[in-house]
Amino acid sequence: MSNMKAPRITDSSLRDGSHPMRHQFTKEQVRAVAQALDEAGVPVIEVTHGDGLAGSSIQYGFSGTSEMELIAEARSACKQASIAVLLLPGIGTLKELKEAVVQGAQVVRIATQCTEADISQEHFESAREMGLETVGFLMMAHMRPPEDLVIQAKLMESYGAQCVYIVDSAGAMLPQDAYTRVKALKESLSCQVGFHAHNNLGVAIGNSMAALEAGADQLDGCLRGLGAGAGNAPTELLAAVLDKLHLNPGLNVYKLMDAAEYVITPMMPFQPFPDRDAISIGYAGVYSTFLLHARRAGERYGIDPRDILTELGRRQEDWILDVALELARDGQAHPPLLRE
Amino acid sequence: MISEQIVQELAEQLFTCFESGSAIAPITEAYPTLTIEEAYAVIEEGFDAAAVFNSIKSMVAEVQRYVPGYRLKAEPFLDERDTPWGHLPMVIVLNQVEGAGDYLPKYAGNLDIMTAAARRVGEMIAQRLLSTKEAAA
Repeated sequence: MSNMKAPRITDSSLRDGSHPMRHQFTKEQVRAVAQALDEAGVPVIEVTHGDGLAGSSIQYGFSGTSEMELIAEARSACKQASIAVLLLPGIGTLKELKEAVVQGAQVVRIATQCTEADISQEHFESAREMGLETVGFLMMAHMRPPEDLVIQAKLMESYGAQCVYIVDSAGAMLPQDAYTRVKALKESLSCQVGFHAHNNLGVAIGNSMAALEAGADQLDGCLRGLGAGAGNAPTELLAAVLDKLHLNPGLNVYKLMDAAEYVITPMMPFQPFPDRDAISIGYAGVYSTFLLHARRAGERYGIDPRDILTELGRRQEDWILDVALELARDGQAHPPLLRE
Repeated sequence: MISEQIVQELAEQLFTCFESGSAIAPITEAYPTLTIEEAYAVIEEGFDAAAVFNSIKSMVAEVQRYVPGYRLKAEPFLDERDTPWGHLPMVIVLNQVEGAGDYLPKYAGNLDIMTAAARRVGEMIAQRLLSTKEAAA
């Protein structure tokens, strides 16, 4: 337990939460959430389309309000918090990052599949030149052992990442998985290490605590867990647990509980929860963001979304429609993973 | 080295004739390799779906003349989506480009199609040169 220290918390309600909101956050909602988080002492608030800058598309769903307007709104609502944006090379480009900086972004979190860090070099280098704080996101990190992740994390560090996150995009990790991965990075990197949890197997807080024990410097949360799949580690819950561990980094626990109860809950279309589809995501190990897309494709083509998700897990591809069509055509010839 | 940034910028230039468009890379691991796949979605109001489908198929047949591995993975189909311009119909095309495997690996259909297209252009120029020569003679 000697490694444990009060972690810096980034709240991603206004980014990961964009998925369950179907990317329809309004300026008023963003202002209310950002203000509440700022007043409760949250130091970093992430605001972007759920799939990062320029995610607004047919593929991922169009934003109701432009993310640039939402970034500016959050910036103007905050007194102490920094505004972060997410950038996935392959979806967003430096053009959108520059625009986000004009609107008030101070931190960029650059995310790649955990084996593909080498596509992020240009983005990290440019971000540092722009004077941004840089964070690397190794997504789907459950798929690779700690030693592989160390190689990828070192690439990001060499490009200019000031912190590298182990990202459990599929909510597929158990506490031991989170611990060994964060520990390996802590032992090999000189920059900070973070952990981003999803609750698909019901262990988002447990995994965050395991990451903390392994020496994590930064953790992510979302109010009420509002995020993709079964959601993330709830920020108010992280705050309460950290406070009980005497590791509260300066968060006002009551204010966060109130923000969760009175600010975010009334605007949520549903409470993300490890329901049968979300559990399938965690079990099969696919992106949590596939949840609503798979559900939609399932409804449209008359297929059980769990079959789509398990098949996607088998292939590790992101063509949900392609898989849905094939399953519909083959009469689901592939035996679903969970029933084997 | 061609960066992700440059590829995206080039791809987005292809969409300049549309009101809006974007190029998105698959967010997956590079290995094991995937045969290059693409999905296009076009939103338009009040169009003739049958004519669009036929046009797609005839273009695929045309491209197949010089890129044999260029094919549709499924029949083009219609869907609907909420967009900034309203709830609109959409055409989805799932296709696949398998390379010839002569020099580059078969999965690199995205690169191979450029070589094949260049060869086709070369052949067309040669054909034209030959026919002008014959005419002059």
